[in-house]
Amino acid sequence: MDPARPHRTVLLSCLARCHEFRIGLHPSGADRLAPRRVGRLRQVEILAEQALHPHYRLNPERFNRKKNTAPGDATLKRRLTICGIAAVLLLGLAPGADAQYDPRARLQPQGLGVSPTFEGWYPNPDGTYTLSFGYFNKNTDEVVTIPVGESNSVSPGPTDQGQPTYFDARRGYGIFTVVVPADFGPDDRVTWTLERNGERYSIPGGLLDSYQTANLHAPAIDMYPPVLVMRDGGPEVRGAAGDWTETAVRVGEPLELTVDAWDEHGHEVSVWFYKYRGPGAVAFAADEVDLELGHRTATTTATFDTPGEYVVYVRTGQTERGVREAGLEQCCWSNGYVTVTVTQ
Amino acid sequence: MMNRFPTVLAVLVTGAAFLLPGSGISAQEAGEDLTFHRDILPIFQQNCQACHQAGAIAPMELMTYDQVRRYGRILRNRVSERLMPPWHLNPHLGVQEFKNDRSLTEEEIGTIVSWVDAGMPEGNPADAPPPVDWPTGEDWQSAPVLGEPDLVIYTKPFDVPAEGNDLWWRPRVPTGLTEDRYVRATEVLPSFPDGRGVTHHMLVTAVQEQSVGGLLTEWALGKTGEIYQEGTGKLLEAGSEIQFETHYYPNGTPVPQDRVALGIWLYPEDYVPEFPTRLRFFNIAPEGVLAIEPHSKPIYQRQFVMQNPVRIQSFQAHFHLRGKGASMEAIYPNGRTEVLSQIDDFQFNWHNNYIYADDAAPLLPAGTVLKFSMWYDNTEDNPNNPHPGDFVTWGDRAADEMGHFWIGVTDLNEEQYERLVREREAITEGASAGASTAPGGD
Repeated sequence: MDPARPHRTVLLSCLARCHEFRIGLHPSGADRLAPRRVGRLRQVEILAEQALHPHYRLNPERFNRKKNTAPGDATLKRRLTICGIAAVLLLGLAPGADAQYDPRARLQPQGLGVSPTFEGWYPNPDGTYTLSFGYFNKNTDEVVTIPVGESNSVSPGPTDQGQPTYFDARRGYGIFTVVVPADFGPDDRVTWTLERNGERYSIPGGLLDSYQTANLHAPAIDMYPPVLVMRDGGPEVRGAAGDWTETAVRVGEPLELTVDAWDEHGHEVSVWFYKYRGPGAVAFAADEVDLELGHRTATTTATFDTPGEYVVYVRTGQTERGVREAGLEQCCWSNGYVTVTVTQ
Repeated sequence: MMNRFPTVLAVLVTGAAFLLPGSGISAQEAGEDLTFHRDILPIFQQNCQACHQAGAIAPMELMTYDQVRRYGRILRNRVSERLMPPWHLNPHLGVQEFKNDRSLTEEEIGTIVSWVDAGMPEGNPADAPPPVDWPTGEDWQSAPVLGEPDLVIYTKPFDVPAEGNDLWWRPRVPTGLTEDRYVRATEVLPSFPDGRGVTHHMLVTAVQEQSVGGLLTEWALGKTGEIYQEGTGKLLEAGSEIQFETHYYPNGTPVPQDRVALGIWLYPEDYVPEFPTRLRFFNIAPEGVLAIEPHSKPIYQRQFVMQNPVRIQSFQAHFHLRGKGASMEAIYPNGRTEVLSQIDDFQFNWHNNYIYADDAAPLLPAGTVLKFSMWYDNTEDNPNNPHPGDFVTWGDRAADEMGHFWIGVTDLNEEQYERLVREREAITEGASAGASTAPGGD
């Protein structure tokens, strides 16, 4: 479901393997290298670290991905090429320095909780404010479902304010918003609570210093969220505050999902489809649709295996640029949601 | 609306001025004899006025008796807590000799505390030292030592708005070099005066055929330039380009067409330093791993083994608003451990780069493990924390977090290492050589 994860997992696995090679073949102080070889190895280290840390990149276009964007084939090939070069060189050469204790050892695949995250806020033209929330599923592998209710609630106001119940592993950025009135005070808060396996997180959001976001424009790179239209004649949506539509289908019957998406500044966009809520599994014919310039319509099908009320989350962003390039601003993507009633 | 620098500075200045204890050095009797003009002003000239003058980065001037007296109780607190001047290393752990040390000695702190406690007597103006002829914020800090830089490269202009969240500007600019040259020193100079208030940090990468093994330099608010030891430098190739990454932080004043300057001092043509050096990145709390729970104080650690001898040139930790402390510890091949440097009270506005003195830069034998630790404070105890109730993950924004070190590392071969050790021993012979300045553990 996470378009970035498979590629990232490959990369992390590769780097971990590289470290193993280095430790296994060249125990501490066991080898001395000619300066040129040491230099080559360090370049490999740099490439490896770049893959995990954007501050270190030589080419910021290579590692500009976040969960909302999926690397194209060319990007994936570049990454795998770097990884492959690193692995080959490290098999034959010793490093200048090794990581002995990897902080990733603290990660756990399953059994942990999910916390909301407060992403930030931005003012709206009508004087209201939009608060943006995401989540952090602490598990590296396990997908977690928490139905709306005492363990998945927003307050004040209705318990159900459109939050997700289906949490893919790790970080989800800016997946739903709450609009608060113009008189929302600096000390007022909207709190999203999630509880799972006894781990309870109540994360308040408000008009906090350091949390104002440039949701609709990342000026340093002149980047804007694409336009998303969820239905014929529907509004043109830009940013995290998405449009909601409704439809119905029977169990096992493919449901065609068609949206229009485009960038107003001449960039190619992609559209991703996720399960957001629902009692059963959702199978997408394609969970990512890349749109070339001049094409606006993205179509996939979703098949549901269990009756009930579902929500499909639709997200669009630029194909080659993502939240990473905007400095992890809460920009520049657009959200949409489809409520699907699935009957037997 | 969002103007965080003043907020943070206000917290720094006003925090608990009357609640914290003195340094323990204060002596009322001694304070009765202390005067501003004779005893206090020289300390402020030496350690404070570079920033605390008109048009400089500090929020208040500390040039005259009246100005100092107005903030006397706050100053007493800040210096006794070692939060000002901004030098946040533990004074009792690790190497204490640095090229850019701006900390106060215990005696200087005691003098200020005693003077404040004694009622801040002014004394006779005739006792005052002559005023210092300060350079402006338009001047290179390294210029008095090195002269004007050989090469000045500017970022492309960028309009910094008055308000809003963090911004990153990443232009790429040619160096204009037509032949390979080695870098002797670098310095980043934000535009003056407005640019200095909005430029938080900058990463400078040389884009060229042969990597310099990390960044060319990194700069953050409060950091001085980098000057390498004689015989130590970084290669900058003909035809190279500079990839800038400037982190802007709007502070209420728009800065149109802002440009940040990179000054580079070069070794003479055809000069090849014996010790090519690099600024290494040690990522302790990587993206995808860093997770800070609400109201928590987590610690992250990571270890790296040096496969060849090294000389550690500089020490710098990078956090955001929840960062609290950081340490670098050496575990020598014989098992002995030693803290090389430790930051006790990290301040987001001061990403100090601690540059070890030439005769104190740690020399580490092959096989030494560098153990890095970073600890966070996502509670109400942290006055810089914008939201103790948030679950914080990795990100570029100040409201998100990071955790890594920038360490200046010079790689050595065995012959170089042994030679430098002998030279170090010769220097320290007859003195009680600190363990941190001696070769590690053998």
